[in-house]
Amino acid sequence: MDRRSAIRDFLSDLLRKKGDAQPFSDSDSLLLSGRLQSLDALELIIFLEENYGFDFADHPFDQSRIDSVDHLVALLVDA
Amino acid sequence: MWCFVLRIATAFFFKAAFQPSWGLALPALDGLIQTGRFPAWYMCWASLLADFIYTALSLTIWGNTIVACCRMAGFRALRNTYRPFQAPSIAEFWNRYYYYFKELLVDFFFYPVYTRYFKRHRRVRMFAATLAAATFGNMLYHFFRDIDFVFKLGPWKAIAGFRVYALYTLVLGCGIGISQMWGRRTAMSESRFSRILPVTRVVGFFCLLHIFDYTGRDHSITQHVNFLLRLFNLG
Repeated sequence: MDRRSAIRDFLSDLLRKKGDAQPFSDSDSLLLSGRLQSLDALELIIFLEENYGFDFADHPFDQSRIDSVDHLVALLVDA
Repeated sequence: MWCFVLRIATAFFFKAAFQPSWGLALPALDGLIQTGRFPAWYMCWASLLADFIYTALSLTIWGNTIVACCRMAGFRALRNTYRPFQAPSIAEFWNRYYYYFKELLVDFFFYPVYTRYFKRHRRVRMFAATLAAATFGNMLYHFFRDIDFVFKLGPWKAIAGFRVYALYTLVLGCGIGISQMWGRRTAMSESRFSRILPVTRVVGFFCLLHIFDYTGRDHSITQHVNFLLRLFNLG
């Protein structure tokens, strides 16, 4: 499974756990729009650390950088 | 429109609860704690509950009036206070009670600690980051918000007088931290009845904690603890 699909699946799962079954596109804002919240961002941080070895200590953390599938893919590419 | 209706309802609630000529004539919580002359325990409970509800209503109106203005101006601002009394956990209550303040603390204190420290210990990591935000950040924010106390009382008295709120933030931080470590999220399919117990526990925790939600510099911790004991007919 490629990164984009894995991230999409993870985010879909996160939204489904919150009872949000509405579809979302790769560019849709999830955190800043309020569909996901701070606690969900933590799960996202852990997902990125465990699956891609991404370390936020090396990169300034900003919610807007993990706001959508596109942002997350770009973040991993930049790293 | 809702804010306006709620504002009128809150004004009526305040008068009905605390004004002698209107109805219940409950003693003001702040006055009770300051004087230390407590009425019967059930009157203390009534006073605490009324003050807690009034504070929540006032915050809801204030925050959501600003959100409404932002929305009228075309911004897609998220809600501030949203059904806190239905929160199934302490962490969720805080998230729903004062969303923007929580987000401020999360951005400036929680994430920096969470992304840097205790990475090998997931629970310690969460707890430390929560304490950084809900305790340290919260305390720092309120101390500097009321910086005029430093000029009025001098730095030492301003810091020493802050002890009641410091205790409040410490208990709040530990409560949220423990709540998050348990990671309880009530499933959507759970019945309304099964939600009553956790919701009551959460509201009870915040209601009792409200006794210590005092940012002034006149009271001692003992005065607040005495009131807490009086609620259970102790002391």
